[in-house]
Amino acid sequence: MTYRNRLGPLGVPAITLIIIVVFSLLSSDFLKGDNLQDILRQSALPLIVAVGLTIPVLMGDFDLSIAAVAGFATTVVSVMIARNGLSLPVGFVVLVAAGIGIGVLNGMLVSYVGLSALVVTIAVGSILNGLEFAFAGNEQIGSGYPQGFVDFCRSDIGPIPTLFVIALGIAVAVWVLLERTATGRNIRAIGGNMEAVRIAGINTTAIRILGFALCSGLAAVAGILYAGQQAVAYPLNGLNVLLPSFAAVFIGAAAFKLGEFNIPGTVVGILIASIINNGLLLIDVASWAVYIFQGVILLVALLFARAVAGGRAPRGG
Amino acid sequence: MSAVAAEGGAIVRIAGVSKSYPGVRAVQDVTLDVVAGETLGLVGANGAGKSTLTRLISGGEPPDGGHLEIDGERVALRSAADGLRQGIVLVPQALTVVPNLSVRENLVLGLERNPRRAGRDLDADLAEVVVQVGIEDVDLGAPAGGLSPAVLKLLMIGAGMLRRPRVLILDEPTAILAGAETERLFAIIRALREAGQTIIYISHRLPEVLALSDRVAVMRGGRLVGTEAGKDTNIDRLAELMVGGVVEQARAPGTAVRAQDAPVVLELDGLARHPKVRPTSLRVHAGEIVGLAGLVGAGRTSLIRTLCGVEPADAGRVLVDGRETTPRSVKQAIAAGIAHIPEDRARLAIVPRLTVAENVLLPDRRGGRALGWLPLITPRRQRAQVAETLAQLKIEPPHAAGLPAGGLSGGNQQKVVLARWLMRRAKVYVFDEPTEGIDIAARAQVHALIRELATQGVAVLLSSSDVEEVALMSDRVLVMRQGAIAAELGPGAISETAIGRASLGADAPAEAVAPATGHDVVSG
Repeated sequence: MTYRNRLGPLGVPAITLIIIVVFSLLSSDFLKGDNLQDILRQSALPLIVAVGLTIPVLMGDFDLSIAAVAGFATTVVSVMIARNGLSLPVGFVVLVAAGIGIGVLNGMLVSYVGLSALVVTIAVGSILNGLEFAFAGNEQIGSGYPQGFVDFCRSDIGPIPTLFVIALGIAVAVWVLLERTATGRNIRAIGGNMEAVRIAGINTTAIRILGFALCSGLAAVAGILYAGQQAVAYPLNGLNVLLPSFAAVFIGAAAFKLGEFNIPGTVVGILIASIINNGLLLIDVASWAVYIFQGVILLVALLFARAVAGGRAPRGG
Repeated sequence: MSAVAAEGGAIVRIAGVSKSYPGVRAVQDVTLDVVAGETLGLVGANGAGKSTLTRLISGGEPPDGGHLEIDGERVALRSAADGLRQGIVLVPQALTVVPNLSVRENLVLGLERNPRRAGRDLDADLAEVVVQVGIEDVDLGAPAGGLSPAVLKLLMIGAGMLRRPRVLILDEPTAILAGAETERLFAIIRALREAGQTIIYISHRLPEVLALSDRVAVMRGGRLVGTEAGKDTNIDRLAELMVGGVVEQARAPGTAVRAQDAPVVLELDGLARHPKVRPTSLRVHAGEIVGLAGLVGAGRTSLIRTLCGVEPADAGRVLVDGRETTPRSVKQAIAAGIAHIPEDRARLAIVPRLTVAENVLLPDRRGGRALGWLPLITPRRQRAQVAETLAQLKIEPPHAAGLPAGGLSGGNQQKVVLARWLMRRAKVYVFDEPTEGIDIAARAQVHALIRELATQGVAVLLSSSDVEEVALMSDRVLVMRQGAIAAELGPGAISETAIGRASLGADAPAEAVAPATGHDVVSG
């Protein structure tokens, strides 16, 4: 008990500090302003996805379709606005709506029909990968993006990348939803004891569907902004976000509200994942090693969250 | 035998043992010697910690603190198998017999690998034990499934004796037995005791414990509150130790009669839920507490869940204040003014990770009073909103509102669930096992609160498998059997015996059990 109490509040900050010290020793570029700005830039879109993912995971529902939703949004919005010249607002609204629709489909299959969230979201993810290819064909989209959109996605507000400010804004909004509204209270309650929530007269099915819808909707937002940031799209080369998001959510469960998934924790988790990714690139590790590190980070995050929670929560799946 | 008990040394010493579960300190710092050759009675109310203590002694669970000594040596039992190797045999309360195995197979189950039996002749032991527990007339080759509960219980004790126990623990062995069967069991236990067997006899029925035990240990709220010599104590003394001076009075007899003249608040008209609840009709008047009794599995919980919208009804109607409200969801039941305090609060009522205030406000669609025009809630406003109700219910600790509900004791968690529905001022309160697993003081408070609700004129339906509770609390008792109301006991006819006999379907004296033909009860 005491070891857990000490591990909890200090663990995540201590590990973050160690990682920063190690990388700054290994690379003189690590602590430079440009690189720190890069870290924030790289964090922005994964942060939007991870904040969304936190919502269903809080209810014990894992969504593995997030990377496919984001990739689908990137490619299809590119087809619409860059290849076919439709206006950005049209593309944005259509794809966010598509994202929400995919989430509702996931949520209905999971909470209404009662299928396994893991398997449903893997299947839906594969369908989206296929559709993405079907819409785009086997050709890269490399031109035709509205310049204003690209400039906006690459701009900074003072020293902070605009997209990171947007991501933080979304994180704050979702925090308010979870901690200051009855819906958020219900979301947190469902993760704690779904049957008790149902017997208290709350429609748990609808709330779980809402969770998947918000998660997929935010993944679509991140995917659309990725198209603007990159100004290039090719099927199945979207935002690499699945492992970092899950790692961030689980690191988050070991910080702030111990043993519980929470938004401030997810923000810190994404920063840690991005710092490690950035540091590995700076010290020129082989590209295969990055994959290994992503897997290792996720496992360590799981073990850490479990240690802090004392073997009870968090769980899911 | 008490002479032997006095001279013998301690076989098992329980040294400062404690065990906690989330929200409950089940056993706290219990120190107790079990002396060779004695029969030690262990008594306590429901939830006093008797069963937990036996699991700690028999290796079923490790203690959080303290330790066990066997023959003066400190041992750590890691499993029930470890306990068996040390010669500590627990005969559980439930009938743990494999019905499709023969009597003989049930008796020797698991013995093949018991080192305490190395080098012994199993058939000779078997023949001896069968006589010892009085089942020599039973066909050892027949499947155990066809035997009566009493014989199965003797079979379980026989299986325990075959292990040549140092200590035989009998957990509520008479709980499921009828009068004559109990006498037969007592004769067997007395014979085992005369033969020098060390026994721990657990029961909440004081007369039988007194009749059998050399010493009686009394538990209350997880603590050992006294150990009395059997010959120096009496029922009143033990009862006082068990309840700690908390003695509840039944309701004033007049209130029940008056309630019958009050308007009907809750009416079920042929409500059915296949296959567990057959069409059931009943009425509860304003200010009336109607007890719902019956064995576990008689359909009480299913009836309540259907009436409260948790499970859909297949047929029939629910009326509140004469308006049809048959709920198709919990939400509709709440809107109709029905408050449901379910059984098993940890699984069905409490969200451990939410604060107490959030738990109290759980059914509130806005989660509490909103912040001005924004639909936002804050922890501080939630705490303020529930403060008065929490104080009224004396929930401990006093600053509990902001703490996670999972950390509270069982009794306080139950009060949180009560607070949830008190704040909503329902017309009908439906309680299912309201004092299951909570301590005796909290139980008295919950009972007082239920009476207070009735005094304010709401209708109360109280379902409990605790016969004492139903008899104590109810103005009228409905007894369920096999999914239907089988008997109604009016004021004056309510007693634990009458409820018990009606639950079992035993023939009862006509004045004690009225046939189910009264205007309030129609079942079929």
